[in-house]
Amino acid sequence: MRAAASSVLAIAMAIALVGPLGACGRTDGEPAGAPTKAGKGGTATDFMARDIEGKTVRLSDYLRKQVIVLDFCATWCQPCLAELAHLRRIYAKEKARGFVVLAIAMDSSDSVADVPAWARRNNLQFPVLLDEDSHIASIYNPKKSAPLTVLINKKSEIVFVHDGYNPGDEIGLEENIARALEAPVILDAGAQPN
Amino acid sequence: MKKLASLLTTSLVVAFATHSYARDVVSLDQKPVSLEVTETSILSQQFDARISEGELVQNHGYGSWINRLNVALNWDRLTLGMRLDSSVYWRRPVDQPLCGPGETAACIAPVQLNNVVRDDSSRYRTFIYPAKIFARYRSKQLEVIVGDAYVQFGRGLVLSLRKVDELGIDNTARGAKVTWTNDPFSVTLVGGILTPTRIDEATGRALILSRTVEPNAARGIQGDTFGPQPIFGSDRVIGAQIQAGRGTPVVLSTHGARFTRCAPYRYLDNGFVDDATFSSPFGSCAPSDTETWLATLPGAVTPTIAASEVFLGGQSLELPNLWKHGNLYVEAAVQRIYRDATPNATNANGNALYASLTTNFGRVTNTLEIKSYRNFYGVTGAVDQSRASAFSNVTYTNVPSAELITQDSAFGFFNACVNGGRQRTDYRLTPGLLLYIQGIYAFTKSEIAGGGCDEMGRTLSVTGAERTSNRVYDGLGGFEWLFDENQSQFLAAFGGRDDTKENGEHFYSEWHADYTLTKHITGPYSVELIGRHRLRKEENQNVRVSSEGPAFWRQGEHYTALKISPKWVISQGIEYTTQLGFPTYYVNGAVLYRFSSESNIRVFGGQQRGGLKCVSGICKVFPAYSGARVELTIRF
Repeated sequence: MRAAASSVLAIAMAIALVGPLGACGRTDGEPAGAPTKAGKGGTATDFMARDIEGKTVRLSDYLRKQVIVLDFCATWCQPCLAELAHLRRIYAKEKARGFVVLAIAMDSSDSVADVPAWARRNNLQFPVLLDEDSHIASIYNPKKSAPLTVLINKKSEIVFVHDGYNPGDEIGLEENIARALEAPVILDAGAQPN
Repeated sequence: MKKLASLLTTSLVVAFATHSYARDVVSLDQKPVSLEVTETSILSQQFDARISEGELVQNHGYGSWINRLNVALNWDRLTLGMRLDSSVYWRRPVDQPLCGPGETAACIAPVQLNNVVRDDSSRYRTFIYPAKIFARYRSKQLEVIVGDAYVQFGRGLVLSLRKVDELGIDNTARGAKVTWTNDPFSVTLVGGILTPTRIDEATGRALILSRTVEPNAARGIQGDTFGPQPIFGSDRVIGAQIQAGRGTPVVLSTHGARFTRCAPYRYLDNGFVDDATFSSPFGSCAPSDTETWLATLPGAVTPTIAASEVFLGGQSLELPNLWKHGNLYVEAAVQRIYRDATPNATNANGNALYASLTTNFGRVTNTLEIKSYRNFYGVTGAVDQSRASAFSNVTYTNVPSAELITQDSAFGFFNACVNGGRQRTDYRLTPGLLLYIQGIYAFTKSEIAGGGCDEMGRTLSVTGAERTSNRVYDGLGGFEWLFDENQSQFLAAFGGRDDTKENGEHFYSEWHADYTLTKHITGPYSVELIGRHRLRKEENQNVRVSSEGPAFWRQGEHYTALKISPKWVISQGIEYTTQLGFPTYYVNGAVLYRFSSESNIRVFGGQQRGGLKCVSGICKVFPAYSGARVELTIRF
């Protein structure tokens, strides 16, 4: 048992040490909220869900055509209200340039009934998807943080991830969206949407 | 080992948590292989329990490091994923010295030793295991998962395997799931062994074979007769859902699920379990083993826990777009419970009807929910709750409660026999200001122990219908105000609840006020005040003078935070309760530093009140926390 405990501890410590180093390699020295270097994020994984109007929505419907923000939120999430208000404004300003927000409501059985009314009263003009069984969250937001913002550029790369919302955080998000919209799109040879 | 533990102990509490962030690592056939890593570690050191104020010695001063490593590889249409969970504990209560004469601090009283040792048999286990493992193939119309899969049918009355992080719930079916979708049709088939998370972060409890407690008469320790015993069974599910009308004005769904119980191990003739690795790796469904296993479970906890088989079927009708002014959802479900030991038992059937209607007209939006359940119970995981009550919330269905998702005052089997509903109306007064009111009514026959009903809703009560039937009224009003160009917000609500038995006896009542004020000051600076304050009264609780019965008690919390976007959040909190048997005050402080949008470190120290915490109709009792923690969140 002692040997097993030591092994587990060693593994855990190694992970804890490697984790920060892995992050430092990419982001050390950058100010918080600074844009992540485009092209360093991985390729976005496709998913399928129903929106609040009953339509089937696939991420691949938007990949490589638009800059996408996946916004993980919920009716019970208070910081989401302020963040969504900013996303609503940015969406209205940038949608003509190929920008879309996919709000992903993580509400389960007890609050999912309120999602359509919540979207309506908060004037959300972009698609609001339902993720009752957590299958989208399991891909992009395993800890189910709310809000969690994932920005995907037109090369289907995840270029920015932001956990939580505090007043002023929208500045970094808006800068990253603008950067993604301005970036030239050069698709890799043979690359196809998932 | 001790040196390592000591090093970790002196460094207080460290929690490392990283979120998934995909990264292309290599190309195969000109398509990128993307690696996603999610790492969550929690290193914790509890302070000594406030035993003289009612806290339990079993939670005394231990340290823990719980690690969760998620890795997923994506290539083209394929994903391979795994989550590896591990836990390490030190300074367990059982390792701490016994109190000498006159000693009370940082030691275990000899009279408590038996409780501590027996409690330890299912707690503080150092081990590592693959919590989730899966391979997924997806195309535009087909998704196939082999391994662990989340799944929910309808609103969860029939099947709901999902993740609720706040309660430490993460249930999947380990087997296969196939979903074929080609609008307007969709078919989902699922089958497998049900797999909850086996380590409870809040208590250190573990769903693995217990430790053997050796008897020691001199120290007053009662030993185990049959050696290590299982705590969690081998539950299985098969289910199917067929949807028709997706993308059309009317969506129909028919779904069914069958849950069966098997023993987690093969039982030997001498009463011990055969825990050899390859003896019964997926459990034993031999009738004798299953019967022996189910007989060890405290069946009174819930009617489904010791059932050999539970069948559920459901039908839903959805009108997702009522002429652009709302939607309607109706679902009916039936349930049948079967026990091998009592095959002719009466009252095995139940049924449920749930409906929601959302409407919007101009500035007004409404959400109405109706529930009517008769002898309809959530399907509970086969957990030996006498050893691991922390896992009492392992359920495979999620019956909508039509209450607030944080409602923690619906007791017993509130929703097993109930008629009621919830109405919420919102009015958008200005673009930044929303007003709302909410009313809840429920008549339940299953909140009080001994109550219940049959499939027709007829009362079944051992103490009289009027003593086990409750009428509940709950009201709430509030507002949401965004200002300073949406950089500040003020949310507040005030409400009350009354729960009275049909014979007029008071059962529960409460008044509460909630607020969140986030005020942008200037530049990156803002201040946040968050609080919830409650005045509560409950039958048989907080009885200070027996002749006067239960008295109201106050309970709540207030947190103040200074936020400096995007890097800093400095917060201080105070929690309190005047309920008898608990420490009154709990103070804490925390500093969060974000060194990138993806990564942060949070240092926490102090106390937090324990108690019942509910999310989406599922509740869990958390022990009070008293300790220190540092949390690190990194994405890479």
